[in-house]
Formats: sequence, structure tokens, C-alpha cells
Amino acid sequence: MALAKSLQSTFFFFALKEEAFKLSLKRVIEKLETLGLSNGDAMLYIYLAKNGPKKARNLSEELGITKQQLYARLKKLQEKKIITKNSQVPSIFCAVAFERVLDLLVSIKAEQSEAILETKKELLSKWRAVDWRNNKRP
Amino acid sequence: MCILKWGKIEVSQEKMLKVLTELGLKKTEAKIYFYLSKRGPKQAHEIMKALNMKKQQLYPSIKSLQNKAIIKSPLDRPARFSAIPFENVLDLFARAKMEEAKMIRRNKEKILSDWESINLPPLKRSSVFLNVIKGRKYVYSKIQQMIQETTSQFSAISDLSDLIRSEQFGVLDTIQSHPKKSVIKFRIITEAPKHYLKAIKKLSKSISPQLELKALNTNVGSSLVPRMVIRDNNEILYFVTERKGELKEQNEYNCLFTNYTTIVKPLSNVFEELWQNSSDVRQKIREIETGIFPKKTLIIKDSAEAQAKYNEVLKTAKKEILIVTSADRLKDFQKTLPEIRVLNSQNLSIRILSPITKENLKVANKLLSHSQVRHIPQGYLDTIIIDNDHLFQFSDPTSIMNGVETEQNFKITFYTDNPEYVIKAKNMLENIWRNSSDISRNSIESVFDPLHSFSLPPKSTSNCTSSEVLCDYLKSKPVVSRTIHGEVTEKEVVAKIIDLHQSEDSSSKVVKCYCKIGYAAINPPSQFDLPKMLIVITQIDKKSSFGAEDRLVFHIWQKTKEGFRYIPVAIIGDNPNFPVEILEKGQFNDTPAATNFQLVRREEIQFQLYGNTFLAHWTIPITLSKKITLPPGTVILEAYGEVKTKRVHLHYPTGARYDIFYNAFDSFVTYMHESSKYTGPGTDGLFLRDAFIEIFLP
Repeated sequence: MALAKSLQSTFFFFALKEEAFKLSLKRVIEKLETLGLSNGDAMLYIYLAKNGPKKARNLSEELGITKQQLYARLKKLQEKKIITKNSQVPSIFCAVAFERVLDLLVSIKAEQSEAILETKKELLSKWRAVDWRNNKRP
Repeated sequence: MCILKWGKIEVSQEKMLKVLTELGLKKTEAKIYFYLSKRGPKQAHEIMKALNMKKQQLYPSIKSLQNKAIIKSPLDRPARFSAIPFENVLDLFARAKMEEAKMIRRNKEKILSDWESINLPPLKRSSVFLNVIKGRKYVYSKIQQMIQETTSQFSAISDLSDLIRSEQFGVLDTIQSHPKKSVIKFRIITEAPKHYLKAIKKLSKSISPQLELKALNTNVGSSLVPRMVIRDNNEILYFVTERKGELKEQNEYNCLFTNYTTIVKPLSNVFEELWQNSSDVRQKIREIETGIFPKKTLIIKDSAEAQAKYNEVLKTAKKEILIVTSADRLKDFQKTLPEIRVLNSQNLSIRILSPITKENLKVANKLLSHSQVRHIPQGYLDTIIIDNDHLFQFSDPTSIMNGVETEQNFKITFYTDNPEYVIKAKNMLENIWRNSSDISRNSIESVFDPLHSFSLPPKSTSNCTSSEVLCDYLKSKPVVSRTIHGEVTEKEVVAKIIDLHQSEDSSSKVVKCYCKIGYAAINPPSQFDLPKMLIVITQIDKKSSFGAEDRLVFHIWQKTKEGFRYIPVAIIGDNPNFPVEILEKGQFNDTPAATNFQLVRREEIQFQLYGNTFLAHWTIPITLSKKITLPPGTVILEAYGEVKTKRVHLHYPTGARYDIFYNAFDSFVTYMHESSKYTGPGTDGLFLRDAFIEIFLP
């Protein structure tokens, strides 16, 4: 009986741990998504940051995605400045530390906010100048 | 994000949609908002129609826009959705973004802790592999790749030529460009032969500062070093091409590349061990330049390594080898005889110190043809000194000397080439050597039978010099017949003694005697100025026919017509009741001893038995001959080995008969002269612990 109880509590603990892990992962992904990344892009960043620098070939082997898919994501992450690649051939991709990503996120958000306000007038005038037209093909 | 640049772009529906998506709306949401904003409130079906959208697409987007308060839906049905003005949307997003930035800053710790708790389960990599990589180009690119993939440590063992070449090909530059180089351990072991000093210096200057380069201490089995590259203790590139040793000759590269733990782990351990035995390359350069090499003191726990070290040092031996070993281990020298013969033929002096026992006497005699062997007392630590330069001390030298693995766990070898230790140890052993004794070529039992027969094969007497007194009594043999009966048991001898204690024999013709007898053959060193002697110590029990007595019989080694013999020359005893005629008629008939009997006081002769040690001490000088007087001294017999039980029957020309039963042991002999100490081998002493003698007088 005691054994059954202890097993139950062990399983419960693992279930909790699993749940906590999922939640943490979800929250981190959400943060990354606010950078304008997709869920897949965010996961790629997390994988690279947690496993250290890698070559594209290894990434595509390990993640089981084609090189084309991979390169598109890597390009996006590079544009967002949260991964870097060295100048060697073949290149090695390395993730920017997550703490730096958060700092980056803060400054981007603040910049965006300011940019919106600064360009508000101009944007409004352009907004007014455009009308809706149906692009639907016949 | 490039909102600031929007002002310069061309105004179009597409661009405005992009502005919306960049503000944070999804594409569909942007389209819906733009449509509603420009065309006023619309019903769902109108939106779907205008934007060519399906219901499943529309409703989630509408819901999302409503959540952001960007579109509103009045309560009337059918619902007509309307957009808030674009200006409000801009304010909304500006505020939201600022809020987000603040929130991230506020919750940074919490988000980071979320990040820390993410442990991605290891992805299934391709299963274990074992590949062969051929050719320098491919091997180098593999090494580069391994460096790039290193996350914690990169270890390599390479000979100098390979290392220099890989440096020239830029393989090691990869270390410098590694993004995590500051946290990774890059370690390489190479060699530093004197004749490539220039190359080593150049290399040490050109390598990345992140790389720790060590040079193997060449006398630690360098020829056995494998070449390999290990990444994070996960993958290994193992060179299988034979090394040809010279810088220019190595062009072929054949490597095994694998991640088998059973291969990677032991070889990682090999690397770690070699790393410990290597010195920093700069220090090595200094050593070569100055010619001053640090002296080493090593504790070698691995018998194979100790063996390799011993063999390596042995090859360098030029003058002499001094060995101290135990009695048991000397027996194992039988297997080393050919090696010793070879060393001896190279004009190497080989000296061996060991306790000599009956068991190892045969081997010791064989060793005498190629080396000098001398006896020392037991208890010395096994030691080998080679050329005053190298000292080995072993806890289990058997495995070293014979290359045989033993099952013992204690295989610790102490090695040093520190002159301070070596010279001191050498002096100590030289001192022991000087005081050690030559080994007898035959055991005492073959020299004489207990209580009699003083004969010795003439061939082994060449080293005896004492010839001043020639006794003519030996013209006729003292024993006319000698019978050695079949082996009796130890118990039977003891039973005889118990009998003696219980029965009183009235016959005066039969003398019964229970005693302990020690035989000590002594070959004194020259400074003692004494001849070769045999001292017989007899402690007679009080139950014997004439009561208790302590008696010493001194023999000296003399030349007779029948070769060298031990001749009894003096007797001292402390029993005034002992009838002297027994000496005259019995075993000492016609010998100088028969007339040189001295009755001494009890305190002038003392015997003691402690366990297996039998000690005799006399306090008066003994006249052995006209010219020789033996000063007061002590003889100690230390019994060893297994008990030997015998019965001997002797018949003398006078008609006297002796029937002797005894339990005996071989013994080490120590003779304490007033000036110094002499230690004799275990073949020179015999201790009859229980002897029962019946003497039948004529």
C-alpha cells in the first residue's frame, strides 16, 4: 500500500514537473513571438541556445527538417539579431544569450512605441490617402 | 521593425497592411481591420465575401481583434462589426508596446527562471557509428569540425610532425574562431625531441592562447603513445596509421572515427593519465635549452607501467645493477637468468643481496656464474639501483622482474632518479654489501650429518684457507657405519622425549640424552681474523642421564688428507657430572676436542630459546688452537621453513653407538663478534629443536 502511494506521488511529481516545463516553455515562446517570430522560429532559437553552436547540417539532421526550411528560419532569427553565424564555411550558428534577447526585446518594444508616436501624423495622412480595393481575382 | 522608414515608402493598400502586421496584427486581422476601417460597419458574411474568407478563418480573427479592442460589435443582430479609428489603433499599440517593455523589464527574473527550467530532452542523434576516414584532407576537416562542435573539452595526442602540419593547414585556427573558446578546455599533448627544438619553439608561439600544449615526458613510455582526437568525451578520431617517427615521412592518414562509449571512455582516461605525465611545452623548451631536467620521483601503481619504466631504465644501464630481494623472490630469478646472462655479457656488474635459504640456494648458485650473490638477513625492502642514477623499490617486485602478472593488489613501485635519494640508498646498500656474507655453495646438511661426518666434497673447498693444523686423527674415519632410517614422524620424536621424562633407566651402559642442538657454520670476514668455524650448541635437558648441561663444541675448518673438514677443537660445558670418557670414547674420539674440554661456570655460558630463535652466549675466551683464541661472543640461529624429522644411527670405531631422533629446521646464522656482527645465510645453520640421543657405550 505504502509502495503504491509512493509510486503515485512520484508519478504526480513527474506530471507536475512536466506541466511546469511546458508552461515555462510556453511563456518563453510567447515572449519570443512578440519579436515577430513564429512558434517554429522560437523553438529553433531555444534549441540552438540550449545545445550550443551548431552547423546547419547538424541542425537539420537533429531537428529532422529540410535545409530549405531551416535556412528560412535561420535567416529570420539572424534578422532579429538573436542568432549569429561565423564567417567560416560551413557556417556555425550560435544563439545570443536569452538574457540579451530579453534586453533586446525591451529596447525594441520601447523603440516601437516611440516610433509609432513619432510617425503618427505621417502614418495617419497616408492611411487616409489609401482606400480599400478588392484584390480578389475573378 | 522599420516603422520609422514608412514615411518614405509609397502609399498603397499592401503597404498599409504591412504597417498593421508590423504593429502586431496577423495578416488576416490586418485585412479585416483595413476593410472595416475603410468601408464602415459590416456583417460577417459581407466581410467573408469581400475578403474571400471562410467562416473558420474569420471568426477567430474577429475574436482576436475584439480582444484587442480594435473592432467593436454592437448588441443588435445580425451583428455588424465596426473598426475603431486608425489613430486610436496607433495610440493603443504605442501604449501596449511601452507596457510590454515595462512588463518584460519587471518580470525579467521570472522569465529567466522560466528559461532556466527549460531542459530540452536530448534529441535522438544518429545511433552509434564507427567510420574509417582516409586521407589527410578529410582527417583535417574532421578535426576542424570536431573543434567547432566542441562544447566543453577538446583533447588530442599528436606527434610533433602532425601537429606542425595541422597548424600550417590552419586546423588549429578553428580554436581561435570558436565562439565559446573561453569556456572550452583545448588540450593537446605532443612530444618534444631535442633535435626539433626550433620547430617546437615556433609552434609554441603560433598556437592559440586558448590551447594548452604539453609535451610528454619522453621517458614515460612515449613510444606507446596513441594518436587521437577526442571531442567532449563523446567522439574520438583514432589514428591507425603506423608512425614512422620522422617529420617528413608521414603522408598517410587512416583514422577510425567513432562515438562508441566503450572506445571513447578508456582512451579519454589514457589521455588524462598522459596529461598528468606531461609538462608544459614552454617548460620543456627551457629544459632542452638549459639541459637541466627536473628529477622525478614517481609512485607507479600499475604493474605494466612499472614494468615498462623498469625495462626502459634497464636499457640505459651502463655500469652496474644492485639488487636487494627477498628469499622467496630470489627463487623467481630462475626465469630471469637469460636476461642476467645478457646483461653480464655487456660488462655490467650485477650484485644481488638476498637472504639465502636452502630453497633458493640452487638458483643463487646458478646466479653466481653471471653475478655476485650475497646473503643478508631477512626484512630488507626490495630495491634495485641502476648505475647510481635510478632507484626502484617494490612492494611486489616479482611481477617486475619476470614480467609476470601476479594476483596481488599491492603493486606499488617507488621510482626516483633524484641523486639525493639514490646516492644515500646506494651508500646504505654498499654498507650492507660489505657486511654481507658469501653464500655457501652447499647447505650445512650436505657438509656434515648432525652430530657427525665432517666430510665435504673436495671441489667446493677452494675458498678455504685455513690449513695451519693438520690433524692426523682423520686418517681413519670417525664413523665406521652410519644408518639413516626411514623418516620418522615429528610425533614419534616427541614421544621418545616424553618416554625419557617418565622412565628411569638403570643401565649405566646406555646414556640417554634429550637436547636442543644448534649448528652454526661461520665464515667470518677477514677483519675478524678467525678461521671458518662450526659451532655446535647443545642444551641438554635435566632429565638426561647426567643431568642438565649447556655445552658448546667448536670446530675449525682444516685441511686433512681427505680434503677440508670441520675438526672439533674445543668443548666447553657447565656440567661437572658429565663423564669425560664419553667424549673420549664417543664422537670426539681422537680429535683435539677430546683433550680440550673446559668446565665453565653456569654464568659463563648462557643459552636462550625464544620461539624459533636459539641463542648461545659465552663470556670467556676459548682456545681453539695454539694460535687461535676465540673471544667471548654470541651465536644466534633463526629457524625457518618446514620441520625435518629424521632418525640416524652412528657406529664409532671404539664400539660406541649413537641412536638419534630429531626434529630440525634450517636456520639463519648470526655471529656477534666483540667488534662486529656477521650474518650467515640460511643454509649455514641447522636447529634440532627436539633431539633424542641414546648412546651405547662399549
